[in-house]
Amino acid sequence: MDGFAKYLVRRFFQFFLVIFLGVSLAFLITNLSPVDPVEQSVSLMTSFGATDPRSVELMRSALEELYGLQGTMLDQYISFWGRVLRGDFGPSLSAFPTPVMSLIMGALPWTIGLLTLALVITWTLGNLLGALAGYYRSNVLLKLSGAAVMALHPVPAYIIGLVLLLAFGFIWPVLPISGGAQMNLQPGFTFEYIRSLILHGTLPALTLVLVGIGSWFISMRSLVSNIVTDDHVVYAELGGVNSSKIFFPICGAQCAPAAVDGPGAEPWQCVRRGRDHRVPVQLSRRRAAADPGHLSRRLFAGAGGDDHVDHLGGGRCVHH
Amino acid sequence: MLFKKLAAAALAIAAMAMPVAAQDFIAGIPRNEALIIQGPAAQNAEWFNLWAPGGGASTNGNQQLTADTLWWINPEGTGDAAWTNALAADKPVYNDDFTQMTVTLKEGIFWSDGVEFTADDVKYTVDTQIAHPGMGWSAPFTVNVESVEVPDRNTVVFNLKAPNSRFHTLFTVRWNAAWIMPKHVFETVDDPLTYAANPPVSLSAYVLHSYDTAGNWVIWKLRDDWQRTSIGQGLTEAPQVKYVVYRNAGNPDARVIEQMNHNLDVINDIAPEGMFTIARDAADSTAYWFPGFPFAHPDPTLPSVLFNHQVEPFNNKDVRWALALLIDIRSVAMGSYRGAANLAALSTPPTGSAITDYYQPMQEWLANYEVNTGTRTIKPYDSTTAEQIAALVKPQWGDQIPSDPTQLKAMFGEGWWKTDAAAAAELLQKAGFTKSGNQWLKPDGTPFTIKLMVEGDAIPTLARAGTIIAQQWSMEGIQTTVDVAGPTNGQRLGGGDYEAAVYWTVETWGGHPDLSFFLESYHSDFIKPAGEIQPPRNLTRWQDERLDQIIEANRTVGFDDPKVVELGMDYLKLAVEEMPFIPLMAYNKFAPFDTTYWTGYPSAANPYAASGPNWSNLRYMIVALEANPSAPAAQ
Repeated sequence: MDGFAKYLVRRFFQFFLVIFLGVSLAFLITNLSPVDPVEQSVSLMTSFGATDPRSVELMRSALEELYGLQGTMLDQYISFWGRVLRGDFGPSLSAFPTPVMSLIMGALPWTIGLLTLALVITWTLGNLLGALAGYYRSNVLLKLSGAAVMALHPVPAYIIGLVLLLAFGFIWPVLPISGGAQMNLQPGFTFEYIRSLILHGTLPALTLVLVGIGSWFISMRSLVSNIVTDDHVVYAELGGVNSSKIFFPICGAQCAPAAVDGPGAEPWQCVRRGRDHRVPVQLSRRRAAADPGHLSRRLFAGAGGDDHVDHLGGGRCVHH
Repeated sequence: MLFKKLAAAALAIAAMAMPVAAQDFIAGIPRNEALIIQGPAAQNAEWFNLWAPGGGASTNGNQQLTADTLWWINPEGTGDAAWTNALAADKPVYNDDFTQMTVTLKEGIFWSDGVEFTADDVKYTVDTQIAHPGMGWSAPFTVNVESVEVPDRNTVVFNLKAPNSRFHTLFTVRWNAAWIMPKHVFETVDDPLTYAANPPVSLSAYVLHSYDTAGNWVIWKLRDDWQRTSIGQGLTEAPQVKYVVYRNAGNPDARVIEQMNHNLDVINDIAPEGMFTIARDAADSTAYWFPGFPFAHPDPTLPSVLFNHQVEPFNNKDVRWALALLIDIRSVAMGSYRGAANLAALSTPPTGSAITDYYQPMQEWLANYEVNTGTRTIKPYDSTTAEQIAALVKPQWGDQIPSDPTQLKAMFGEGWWKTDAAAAAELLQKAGFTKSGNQWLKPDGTPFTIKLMVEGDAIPTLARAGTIIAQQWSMEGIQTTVDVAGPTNGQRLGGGDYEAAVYWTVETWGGHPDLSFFLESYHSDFIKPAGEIQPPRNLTRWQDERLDQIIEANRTVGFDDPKVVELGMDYLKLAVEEMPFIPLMAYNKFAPFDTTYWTGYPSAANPYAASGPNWSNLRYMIVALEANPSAPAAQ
């Protein structure tokens, strides 16, 4: 086996190991957690009305049967893998009986949409500013923006989110602070809807951008500031070549490949950042596994700061 | 220069996106015809079946605005005014031994699709749910109902399996109840458990208009034939609120901002600090339960210090009383609610009819109540707590705090127990405890320590109360650590996996003196061994023969029998004597209303409806609101 094949096999092995452990852990954690979906439903149903203890017993056994929670842990583990492989998680236990997949599919476009947008902006802006700052090292504006970007970098997303919320939602109330689009607006490729989407997406995207831009800025600036001292750049400058003619080749041809390597990991950084500040992972038993849509929504919401959880909402508007 | 060009381009792009403020808040709906209410972030927004598991707990307006059933109790009301005959024409009629209940229905009520509501719908509701275990009210119907007869289209007769003088409460809304199903819709459905009921057929004055599939908002519209509903029949003029918007308005801080921006008329709950901000900065455009401090609206729920009676030494009433006497309730009120707490010494929430039925009549008994500490008797009750708290909050709120003791009691509660460390020490000694330095030792010589469980961030006021009580006990030599249970709180309480906790185990009708709402489940028949799940309520697993006798006696008297209040007092006296849990206060909620567009909200002075948006009772507020004539014109 040549080197590349070995490498490929090793990477695939790692890949499957990670998936296997992840899925198994998701199963184990949700099963061993004391939070039980039957009890959650029972308490939902009994929280607000008169509760006859005999009825509660009956309700509990009926739900256990309905939710299919009988059998040993091993049986459930095997059938859980079956569901993972088929991509059919069955009905959600937290929103019974809506299928888990439809809950995921409802949330996924918003997750992907906002993350992608924020990532593209962060990457573009961070690299551009970083490259400019690396090249025009004496520009005061760029120095200031560098200082600002780096000052924001270590601030947790939820604090940035809260500050933006107060700034643009209250002190200077020009941006909507919740929802995915204007209420009761028919989604579609209309000017009105897209404008509304952009307006509603601005604050959450801005939170992600402000927090995420720092790392791109820093790495790009150091890359460029290394290259500008290379002989060929110094030679070009001495030769009187226009600075923009030097800047783009440096940035484009030499630094961009290094920068492109990163975005694959970036969404996970967003997720991690969200998790850092106590993402409210209120896992029902099996929910994390049986209902990842919920989890991803919460994690993702976390990425924008708790205060922006609501930005992520949106969806079709159904009229009757 | 290149950088300047880039900056200019960025500014130009930003400027294109900026013209924001001029946008209507809701597309196509005039703001002055819509009432905007705090709703949930719904996970499955396309689900409107109220009868599936968990469906009856939805707070998106579905049950609040479209469902209906036989009777309603206003949780804030007192006396006859608190009772409403909704789909039923009159109160329930039982036979002598409470094995049969007969209901006469109103006429002229129609579902929103034009089909008339009849007794068949009621029978169908019961029969279908018995046939489908797992539906919301299947279990209580199965336990109680032998058969349902429909002698004519306006009469339903329930034959019960055993005597039950409270059977009608299954159809009596406090927060919710068994909603009537549309027979003509569900009988065409294969499986009522998996039917989404989208769009739902409405039996009340509003009908679904539109919703967000991501679950952030639902808009309900006044029915054209609103008169043909139980709520509409009671109105002389059309409701002025044409649209009701339930929207997810974010976390408590965001809700405060949204209300001050006039984008959220009705809030369910915010932190005391948020409430004070609104009262300070938006006083001209908001209304509250009390016109000034303490603002909050008390739910008929009783936050208490719960003890697990199956764990030593909490099964000893002297220990429980000692712990009660070590609490300085003024600090608890200030620390949890910044003073805006409605204190409770009796084991029933100090709200609605409980004030006139129990709290006021029992003041003298409380004042004379004696506790034997083992060496002497003390009178622990303090009827001046309200004045003491008033003195503490007066520096901040000034003239908003009246000096009339009666008014103060309405704001801060009738009274509570004095802090009495000496008596507490005597009680602990009576129970065989000894003190070594500043540490109490249990009779077996080990240190007396307590883990006090709180839920945490979900209910910050109670978490704060728990922290303060833990400090107070620790300072008196009982090392107490706060145990934050988070999302496992409910299950740990149910499973008995706690020593002491700040939570509630008593909820009442609010608007009716009958205590069966929680008391029925306190019978010793239902107490589970340690480790098994205790049915809801009686989370302390308190067991007492005298309690059983009260419960059994209550079962045999009618709901409106004057004996109900006597039995209620017997329970309350027993609970003072035994102190099975330490009642602290009503569950106060800060629920300010925006008056920019709507006026006439309920208040302590005019408690004609519940004020929390989750309560189905809110519909009686919605149809009574009046448009504010000085509201901004429609855009």
